[in-house]
Amino acid sequence: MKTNNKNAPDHVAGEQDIEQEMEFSANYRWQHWVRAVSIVVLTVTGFYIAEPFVAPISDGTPTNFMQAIFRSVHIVFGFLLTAVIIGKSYLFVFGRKHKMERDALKDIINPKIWIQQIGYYLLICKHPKLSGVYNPLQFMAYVGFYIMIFVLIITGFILYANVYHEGFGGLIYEPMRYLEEMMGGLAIVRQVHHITTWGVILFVFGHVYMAVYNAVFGKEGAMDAIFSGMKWHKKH
Amino acid sequence: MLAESKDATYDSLQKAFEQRVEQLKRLPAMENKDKSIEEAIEEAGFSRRDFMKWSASITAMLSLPATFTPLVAEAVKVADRLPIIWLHMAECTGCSEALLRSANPSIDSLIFDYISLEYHETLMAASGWQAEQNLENAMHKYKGRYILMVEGGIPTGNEGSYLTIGGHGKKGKDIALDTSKDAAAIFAIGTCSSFGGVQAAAPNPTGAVALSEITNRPVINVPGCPPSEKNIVGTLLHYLLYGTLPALDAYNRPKWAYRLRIHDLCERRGHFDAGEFVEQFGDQGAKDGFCLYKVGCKGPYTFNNCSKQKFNQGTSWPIQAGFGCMGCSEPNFWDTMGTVNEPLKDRLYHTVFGGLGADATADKIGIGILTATAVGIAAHAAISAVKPPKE
Amino acid sequence: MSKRVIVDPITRIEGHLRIEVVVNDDNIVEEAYASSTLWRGLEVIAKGRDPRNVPLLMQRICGVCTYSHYLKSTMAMEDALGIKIPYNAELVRSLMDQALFLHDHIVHFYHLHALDWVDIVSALSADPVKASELAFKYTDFPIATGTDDFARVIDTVGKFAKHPQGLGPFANAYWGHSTYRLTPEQNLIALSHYLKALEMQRIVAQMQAIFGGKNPHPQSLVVGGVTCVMDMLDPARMGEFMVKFKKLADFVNNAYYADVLMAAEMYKTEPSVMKPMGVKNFMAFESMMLGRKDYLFDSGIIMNGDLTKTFDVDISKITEEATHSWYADDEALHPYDGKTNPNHTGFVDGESIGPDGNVVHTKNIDPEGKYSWIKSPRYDGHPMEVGPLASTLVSYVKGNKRVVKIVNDFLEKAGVPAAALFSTLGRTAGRMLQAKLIADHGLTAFNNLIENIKSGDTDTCVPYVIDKDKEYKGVGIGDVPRGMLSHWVRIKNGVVENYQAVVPSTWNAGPMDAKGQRGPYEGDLMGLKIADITQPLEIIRIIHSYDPCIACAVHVMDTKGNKISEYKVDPLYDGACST
Repeated sequence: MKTNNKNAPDHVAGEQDIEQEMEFSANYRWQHWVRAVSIVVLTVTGFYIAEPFVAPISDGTPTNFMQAIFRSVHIVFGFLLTAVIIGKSYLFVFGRKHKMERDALKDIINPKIWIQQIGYYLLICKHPKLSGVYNPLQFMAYVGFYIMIFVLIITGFILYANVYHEGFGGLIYEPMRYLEEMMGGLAIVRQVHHITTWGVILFVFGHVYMAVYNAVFGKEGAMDAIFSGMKWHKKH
Repeated sequence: MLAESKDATYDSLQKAFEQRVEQLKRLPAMENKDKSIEEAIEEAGFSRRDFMKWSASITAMLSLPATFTPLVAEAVKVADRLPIIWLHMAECTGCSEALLRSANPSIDSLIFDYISLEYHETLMAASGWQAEQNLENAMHKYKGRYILMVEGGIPTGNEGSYLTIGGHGKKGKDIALDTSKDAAAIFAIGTCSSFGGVQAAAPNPTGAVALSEITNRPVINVPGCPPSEKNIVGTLLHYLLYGTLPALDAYNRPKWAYRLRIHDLCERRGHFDAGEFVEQFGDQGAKDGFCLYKVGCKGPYTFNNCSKQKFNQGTSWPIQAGFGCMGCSEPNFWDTMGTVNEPLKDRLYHTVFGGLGADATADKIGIGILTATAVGIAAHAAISAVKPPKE
Repeated sequence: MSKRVIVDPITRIEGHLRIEVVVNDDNIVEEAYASSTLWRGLEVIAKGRDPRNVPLLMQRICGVCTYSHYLKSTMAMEDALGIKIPYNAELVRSLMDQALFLHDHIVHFYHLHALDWVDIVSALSADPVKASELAFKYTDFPIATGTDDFARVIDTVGKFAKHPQGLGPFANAYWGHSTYRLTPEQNLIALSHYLKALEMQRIVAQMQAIFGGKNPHPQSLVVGGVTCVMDMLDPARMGEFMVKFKKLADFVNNAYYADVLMAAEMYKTEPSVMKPMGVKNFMAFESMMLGRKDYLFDSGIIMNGDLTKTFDVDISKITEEATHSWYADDEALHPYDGKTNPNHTGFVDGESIGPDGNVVHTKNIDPEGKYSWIKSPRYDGHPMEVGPLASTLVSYVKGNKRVVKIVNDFLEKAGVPAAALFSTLGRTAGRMLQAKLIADHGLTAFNNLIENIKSGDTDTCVPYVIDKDKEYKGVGIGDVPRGMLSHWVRIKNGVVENYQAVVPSTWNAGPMDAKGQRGPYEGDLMGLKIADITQPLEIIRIIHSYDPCIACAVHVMDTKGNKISEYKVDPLYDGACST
């Protein structure tokens, strides 16, 4: 049988029919890739800021501003990431199309799903039937990721306010200094920012592996979903 | 004729004198509560009449007309010096030495003209019982009006027995507490009294704490190891000139000195923005004055005015001498600022894995965990390939 | 009936010190105890830290002899890691060291010690004209002794003295004490120099800051060299150093030297000052590089005041014990498992003479038990005195030409025999002679630095690696303003495994050892006659002559056991100690 979706490829695997289903909206996908690119750029520029690993060819006069450029890029992408993270957080809570994300909450409180999901990854159980788009492990990983991102944003703002005293920096200066004191000084803020980055790097590696894993073994075209928005599954 | 010109001279003199007294009066030093010489004389059993008589005799002695008498009296009343009690707790006397470096005003001018240094163990002539008496007298005589300046952390471990002073073996923390009760203002001079300092660095064997931890009176922190002479004397001068306490930041440091980071006004900032860094001490970059960030400068995390005021009458400061800032005016800087010649990201984490020596930096740990993750991923993928997950 | 006298706090020193003596009916001291009353535990804190951080941390032992500990600690790290620093760096360090010595000795003599010799109140009754003339007796080019200078001094201090707010830091001292020997005019000269020296110490501190970034607590030494390459290569900075040095040399020669000469003239008949010292063993260590293989101070030991021969220093003979120190006694059976832990037993309830001569209830030292945070170091079982006098005597006996001339000149001018140096006056003079030695010869190092830079050598730092898998140990040793100082380090896993400092004031201020031998402080007080036990100026003068640095002296010996002989010892950089 043919699928009724015109985007479906012509060839089908074996006897069984496969159908496509819209999993992620365009907006959702765009945001994802903006986040992804931001994280990569921020990590690279961030590591440069932590310890400058390239040096400009210098003629002795400080005119090429390499650090300033790295810092500018870091800040631009920092604000970009902040914007999409805030947008995404809003949509998660209120977005109509994001109900499927919120639905995943139901599985969190269901121990059976947890056990099944862990068993699946340990290659001893079948994949559980999920209520939302994320399995409980995945959901908790995302919650951790968002906590880390918010820690990065806040510590980033504290560091930002101490460099740029006008405009937005001036606006958030006082509350940021208060947070800075609570954390135990700017040096600690800087270290928390750095360590949390490592947390995000670990998340990204785990996330990419799980996505590929699901693409290979999950047979639902999980990787494709974040590019085209479609997921594939056998026709019911 | 002669008398006329003399009158004119006196007139101008009187005007000048009046102006000076007005100026002096405007100096806040002792406020209203202050006991001036007049009060001291009254206390000693003389009346106001006696005081005016004395003023008259002084006026006569200076060959001035009688109209000057009230002015002389006024002038004397406002001429009191600010009483200071300076305590030494668990310290190295570096802050006292920094005070000695003050040039404007110089330490002698400070002692003779501006303050009455009632107790300062490094400078005072009296020892033993006589020293203790000086402290008691000052606390009594200037109750509620003296400035308490404390150098050194307060050892609280073993019930504070790591420091005792005097024939009665009084504990340092008790002395600090007692003197802080009746002080008009309290200045913690140096990082030790402000935040605990070097003796409070891990594992803090003597339980040293900041002065503000043991008293509930407000304490103005003037940290630095030691703070520059300008910051010590400046805090005092603020009180002398304005008669008020300075605006403070989140760590109770005077904003006039500790508002900005070292980094913000650094003379090498241009090289920082240019990405030009000293890679190794003594290299060409060091000779060219490149930024010291990569060799461990903690200026970006340190709030102080060293880059502006410098030290020893503007002779130099650590960054000018080619050594990065070590963050000495920040709380717990010995523990939070990492290795002195490395960027902060290379801080050693003693608590991680029982402190794996020089390996325990954030990046090394991060790479370690990442490697472990990668191995885990590879193993999982390999097993999955052989034995795919159940559908 | 014997009476007990407590002097606590001893002021005008670095740190917290108590002196307690028991006098007989003739007010002669029969028992004497020195007790440090503060413990900070910096060596404990050093453990587990990066070796590059520790020198800065160790510098915080003391802010008066600031730089001493920084330098020796850095040298210990370099010794351990087998680093030979560039010649330029050696010389720059030496210049900073000269500034420290000059600063420390001037501040000690004028601001910490002078008031034991000089009666300020007496100075106010001096005749400025007579005093001005008198100044020429002690030097051809007196400083700050014009009649105008004196008029101002009398005016400033006189007003101060009459002010009802009182004498401030000079209040309630021992003015008029019977052992003050200077005439009013001599007191006035010294008082004028007291004020002038406040200015000079600022200038000499600037000298150190030129290369050190700041003072106190300079910050330009790194393991491997110095960082102040820009200052070193800047002729204006170098010139500034030289000019300031000359200014200070002038002050040392025409004020400090003259004043000690003046004091010697008047005090050489004062028994409490000329009383022979209790410990006549001296130890000093080579220090202050002037050029390749050329050091200003020599190493050596003098035993029992014998000025005919010196012995070589064998550091493996140094031990420390804690019989009367507030540490758990770890002498014992398992030196490699031993740990030094504080064991504060405090004072005991007792009585002593109060401020007005009555017996008052006090907390007293328990001579049978532990009574100080300072340990008792011994060399081959003997107590030793260290300090400028020890250094000067050792170099003198060894025939160091620079020193022999300076010492002989002084003895001749003061009209005293060499034996007079074994006294409180001698100790104070020895410190001045060391300052003069630096003032006369310090610029040799400066000139050698200029020559070396001129030859095209601009190296100030060498690279090195700390191998985590290796274990290192090393020592930094040499004389600092208060005497022989050594820092000892073990590095393992790339961090400091063990750290200790054997500090000058520990040698001098330590309590009795197990055999009942007293250290220099205590030994010197024995047999002292005190004129008025409520005004123990004689005690204070003797103690001050050592220039006590008590924060330095108090330290924990935490090298697995209490012997440091397990370290292989090599002087300075000749042959690395690294294993």
